[in-house]
Amino acid sequence: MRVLYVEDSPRLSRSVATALERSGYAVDTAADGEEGLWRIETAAYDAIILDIMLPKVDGLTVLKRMRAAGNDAHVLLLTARDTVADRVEGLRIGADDYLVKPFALEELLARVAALCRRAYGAKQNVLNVEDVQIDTARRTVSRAGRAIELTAREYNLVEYLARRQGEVVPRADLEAHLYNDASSPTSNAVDSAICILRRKLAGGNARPLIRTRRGLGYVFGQAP
Amino acid sequence: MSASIRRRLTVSLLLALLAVFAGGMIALYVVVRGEFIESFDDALTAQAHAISTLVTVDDDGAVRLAFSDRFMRGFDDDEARDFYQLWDAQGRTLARSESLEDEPDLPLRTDELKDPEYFFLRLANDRPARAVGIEFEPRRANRQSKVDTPELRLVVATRSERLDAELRELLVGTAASAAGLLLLIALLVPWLLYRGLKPLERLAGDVARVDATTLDTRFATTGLPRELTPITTTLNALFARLEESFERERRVSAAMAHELRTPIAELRTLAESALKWPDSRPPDTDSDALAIATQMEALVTRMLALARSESGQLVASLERVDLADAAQRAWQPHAQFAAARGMRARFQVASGVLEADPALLQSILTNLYENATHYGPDGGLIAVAGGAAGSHYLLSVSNEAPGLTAADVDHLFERFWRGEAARSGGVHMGLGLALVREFARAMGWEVHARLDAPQTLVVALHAPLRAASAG
Repeated sequence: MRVLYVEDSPRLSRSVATALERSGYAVDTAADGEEGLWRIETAAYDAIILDIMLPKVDGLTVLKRMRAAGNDAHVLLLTARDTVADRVEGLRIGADDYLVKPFALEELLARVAALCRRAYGAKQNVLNVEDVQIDTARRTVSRAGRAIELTAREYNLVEYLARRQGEVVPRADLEAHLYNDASSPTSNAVDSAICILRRKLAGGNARPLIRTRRGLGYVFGQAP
Repeated sequence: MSASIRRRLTVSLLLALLAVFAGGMIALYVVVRGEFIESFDDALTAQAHAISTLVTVDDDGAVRLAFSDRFMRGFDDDEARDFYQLWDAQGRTLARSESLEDEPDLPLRTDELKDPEYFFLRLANDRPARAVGIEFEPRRANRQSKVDTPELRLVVATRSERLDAELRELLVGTAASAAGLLLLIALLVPWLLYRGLKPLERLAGDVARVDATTLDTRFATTGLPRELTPITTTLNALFARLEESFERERRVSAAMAHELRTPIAELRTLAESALKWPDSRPPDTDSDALAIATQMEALVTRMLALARSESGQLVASLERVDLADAAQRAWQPHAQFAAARGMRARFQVASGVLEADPALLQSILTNLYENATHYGPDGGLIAVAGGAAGSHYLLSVSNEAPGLTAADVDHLFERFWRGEAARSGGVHMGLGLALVREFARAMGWEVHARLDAPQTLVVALHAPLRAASAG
C-alpha cells in the first residue's frame, strides 16, 4: 500500500512517515502543496494524507485540483482547523476522512488502513484466498489455521495480491504500490519478495498459490 | 413590538384625509344649500315688494289693493302656487290671495318685521312652502294727501316642493359622492403607502437575512429612492468592514490553531512512536522533543507578551537612548547568521537621542533584524537607515523580499500571518511584527510597512522627536 503524506512541519512529516513505514506502507512525503500535487500526478497512491495549511498551495486547493483532474485516490485531511464549517468544507470538496491535530497515532494508522481497504472496495477485514486467511485489521496471515510469520513488506505484498485475487497483477503495479520513491527497488526486488512469500505460504502444501505469468505479472488464487 | 411605519402612516393619513374631506363636503353642502335657498328667497322678496307697491292708502285712510290675478297667475285659485295675506298693524286681515281660498290664514309673525323674515311653513294637505314676511308703509293714492300711512304687514308664500326636491337631491348627491370618494381614499392611501414604502420593506427584509455566513451580501444602490441610498451605501461599507474583520479573525484563529496544534501533534507522534516501537527508537527523538518544547516556549512567551500589551499591562519605562547606538548594538547577534547567508548589511543611521524603553526597543530591533535575515534571499542586502524627518525620527529596516506582494504587506502585522518563505521554515510563528507594533505603540511610536520597487520590504519606525532630543 502506497501512501503520500503532505505536511509542512518537517518533524511531524518525518515521524508520521516513519510510523507508516513501520506499519508496512510505502510512504512518500511532500513539504508543500506544489510538491504534493506533482507527486499525486506522477504516482498512484492508495491513500493521501493532506494537511490543509500548506505553503504555496493549500491543502483544500490541492484536493480540488486533484479531484478536478479526475484523480479519485482516497484522501484523509489532517489539520489544525477543527470547526464544523472546516470539516464540512473539506468533505464537500471530496475528502474521504478528516482528522484533527493533535491526533492519536493509532487512530491515524487505523484510518489510513480503512482508506486503503476502501481503495479496493472491501469493507470486511478478512480476505480469503483458497485456504489462506488474511486479517487486514490485525495484519496477520494464516493458512489452514496455521499462522504464518511475515515482515511488514511481505504482508503488504500478500494483502495487495489478495485484494486483486485472480487478476494478473503486473510487476510495475507491485512496485508502484509497495515501494516509495526513495527506496528505488532493484529490478528483481519484487521477484525475490514473491519468491520468499511463496516459500512462507507453501508450508507442507506443494501446490503454488502465487503463479507467474511470464512477461505479464503474478496471479494469486482464483477469481472470486 | 411597536407599530409599523406603514400602519401608523396609513391610520393617521386616513384619519386626517377623511376628516378634512368630510369637513369639506359638509361645508360645500351648506354653502350650496344656502345659495339655493337664497335665490329662492330673492324671488319671494321680489314678489313681496311687487305686491307692496300695489297697496295704496286713500284720503280717507282706507287701504286699497290694486291687484289682479292676471298680474300674477300664481296667486289665483287655479294655480294656487303662490299665496299672500295682508294685515294691518292691529292684526286684522285686509286681503288674502285667491289661492288661499280653502287655506287657513298664513302665519303672521307678530314681532317687529323691520327686516324681511323668511321661514318654512306647511300649508293644508301638508304641502311645504316658504314664506317671507315684511312690514311696509303703503303709498298714498293722492300724492298731496296728508293722511297717515298705516304700518302694514305682508306675508308672501310660495310652494316649495321643487326647492325641497332640489335640496334633497343636493344632499343625496353630496353624500353619495362623498361616500364614493371616501371609499376611494380608504383604498388608495394604503395602496400608495404600500407601494411607496416597498423599497424600504424590501431593504429591511434583505438586511434581516444577513448573518455571519452571508456577510458578502451587498445591496443595490441604484434604482433606489434617494432617501435609502445613504443607508444602503453605509450598510455596504459596514458589511465590507465586518466581512473583512470576520475574515481576519477566521484567518488568525485558523493560523493560531495551526501554530499551537502542530507542535503538540509532533510531540504526541514522537512519543507514541517511541512507545509503539521501543526497540527502534530514532536517536534524534529527544533532541526533537527538546526543539519542539523550545519552540512552544517561544510561542507561549510571545503570545503572553502580545496579550499583556494588548490588555494595556505593558508600560514603557522611557529613557534617553541614542537610536544609532541601539540599532548597531542590536545587530551584533544577527551579524553571524547574516554573514553565513552571504547577506550584506548597510547602516546609515544618524545619531538621534530620544525617549525610548531600551528593552522594548531592543526587542523591536531584534524582531526586525530576524525577519530581514531569515526572509531575505541569500546574498541579499539589508539596509538600516535613520534620521530626523520633520517632527519625527524615522528608523527603517529594509530587505529584498522576492515573492512578497502588496496584498501581503496588508497582513504583515496580523498575528500568526506568515509569508510563503516563512511557512516552510518551521521556526517562525508569525508573531514578530505583531509584537513590534504593540511594543512601538507602548512607547508612543508608530510602525509602517511598505513594498518599494524593486521588491524591497521597508519596515519603518516613526518616533516623535521631543524637545529634549537632538538630531
